[in-house]
Amino acid sequence: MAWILQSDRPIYAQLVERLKTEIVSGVYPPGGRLPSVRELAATASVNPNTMQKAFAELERTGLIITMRTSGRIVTEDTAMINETRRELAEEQISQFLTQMNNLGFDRSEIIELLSERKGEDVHE
Amino acid sequence: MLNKLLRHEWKETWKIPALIAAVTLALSAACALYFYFAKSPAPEVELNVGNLVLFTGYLLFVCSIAMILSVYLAIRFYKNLYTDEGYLMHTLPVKPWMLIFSKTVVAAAWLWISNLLLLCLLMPVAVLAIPKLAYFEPGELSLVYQVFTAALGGGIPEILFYLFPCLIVNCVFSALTYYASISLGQLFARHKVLASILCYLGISSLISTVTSFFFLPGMTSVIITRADEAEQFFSLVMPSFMRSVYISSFFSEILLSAVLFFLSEYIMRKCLNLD
Amino acid sequence: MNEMHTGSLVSIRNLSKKYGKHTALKDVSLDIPRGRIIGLLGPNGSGKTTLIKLMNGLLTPGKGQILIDGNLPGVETKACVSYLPERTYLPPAIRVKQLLSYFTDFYADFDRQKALAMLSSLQISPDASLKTLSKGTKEKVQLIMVMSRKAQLYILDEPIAGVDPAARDYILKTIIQDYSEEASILLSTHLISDIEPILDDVIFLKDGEITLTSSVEDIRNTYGKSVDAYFREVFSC
Repeated sequence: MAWILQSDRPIYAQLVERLKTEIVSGVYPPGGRLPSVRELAATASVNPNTMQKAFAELERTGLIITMRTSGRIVTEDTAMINETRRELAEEQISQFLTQMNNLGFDRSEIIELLSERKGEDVHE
Repeated sequence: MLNKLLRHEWKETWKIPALIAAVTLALSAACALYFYFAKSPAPEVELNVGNLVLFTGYLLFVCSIAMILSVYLAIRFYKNLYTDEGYLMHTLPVKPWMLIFSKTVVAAAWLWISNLLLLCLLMPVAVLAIPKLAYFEPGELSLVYQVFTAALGGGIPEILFYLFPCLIVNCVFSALTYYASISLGQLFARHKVLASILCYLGISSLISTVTSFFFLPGMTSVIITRADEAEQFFSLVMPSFMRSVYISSFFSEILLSAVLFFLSEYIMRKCLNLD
Repeated sequence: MNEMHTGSLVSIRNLSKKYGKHTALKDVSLDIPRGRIIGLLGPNGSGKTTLIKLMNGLLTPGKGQILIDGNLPGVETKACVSYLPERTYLPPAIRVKQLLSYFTDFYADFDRQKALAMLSSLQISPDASLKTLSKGTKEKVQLIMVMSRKAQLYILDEPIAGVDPAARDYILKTIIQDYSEEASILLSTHLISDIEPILDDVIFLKDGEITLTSSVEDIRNTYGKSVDAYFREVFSC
């Protein structure tokens, strides 16, 4: 299935986000092998050079590592993965807060609303 | 590459010409059988109209399906190189001359087979049919054979010369006339098929005018100088005339074929504009 | 891709083409580097097909020059360019397997096994006669033939227009997975949104002139919208 991409942002940035999400959520576990650029580009129906760029960005941050013999693997540094997970969460929260602000909620109202939902832990 | 082009061209072209040849063969066999068993007219019968109509019909039919072959070969060239199929043919890694050459060889081969077949079948059918059309004195019939052999140039070597080198060159020339006309037609911005047909008429009438200019003095001189041999017209005059026709057309057709080949090649190499 | 590439796969200089009085291409200069997937975009009649036909030697240029891998269009370029026209060029009276042997005979870079594999994944029998196939299936066969060559340059004129979405996905995936890193793909289309994610660069053509060459990411970065949306804006259609 082709990945769903937004039309108003660079594809590369969306690929980086998507790959990060898949790593922190365990689709690609720590130390696990990643598909090749071509394979993943084909799965996502995106340009291989763009996928390559996304991989390079993740390599730069250390989240994925290129092995000389066995292609690319996810880092085994779980602390780093957790850090990434935290960053992604922060981004989601900021977006959420902006949206809620636009709806006219202030912080305490938002927290109140959230606490009403405390009991229901959503599992997908 | 050239042999591959030739092989594929042959494979894609053989069906219709083979069908035409088969029909000609079957029809000739049927006619020959009919005339072989048909009763000879009695001396007082002027003309057997039924047999005459049958024979004329046969002649018209085999000649027109031979013409269909020419039309088929011309359309095949046009469709294969200058319509949608041309997108494949002109993006093959081959030179334009190879495309024209392979198509000329295959078309000339079929035209030659068809002409040869026609000659070889028409003669025996005519020999069987003519005595059944009207009453002939035995002496008159021998004239028929004389006319045939005279038309082919006289003796066996002359006939062989006509059937092989001369007829082959003529078939190559015919194919190249179609191809050059079609290629010339492509130079027009619109109505390319109509333009091709007009080019064909133009080229063939030009060539026939020019050749008659060359042949007319020769023919006249043959008739004038040898008028006293009138009674030997079919044994001497006509064969010698036909020989000179065949030899001169042999050389002039080689020359013209080369011109038409290079003309088609030049158009395809320098002025190709597929729609 | 605007700068001069000495190692360009394709280099087009001041190319013009007229049909009678109508100017189809006006002074087009262009470089295509290796290893890129490039979209040639423009409304109908903008000169996309004219440019593509010139690159394949099917038209005689008016002015200017095209070099592909250093050669003018000819035998050398035809051996390394794999071209899919916007029309069906297959002779009707042959079978798929005859077409396979045709391509095997004439193109040294044709991979018969790969073509057979692709045919079977799209459920097309090699024994099928081309005249019995639907228009869409014929287009698939043609695309399979073209993509089964190990070419330097693939030129695809409206490759996905007549093909159903499932086959389109399969075909796009095949394109992405299989072309060599040294090769480039130039594809013209008006269905930009479908192929936008697979493109590196786009060339906008309008009235026979190049109005923009850019990378897809640059357009998205600069204008905050997809190439598709930007295209609609530029050509207001």
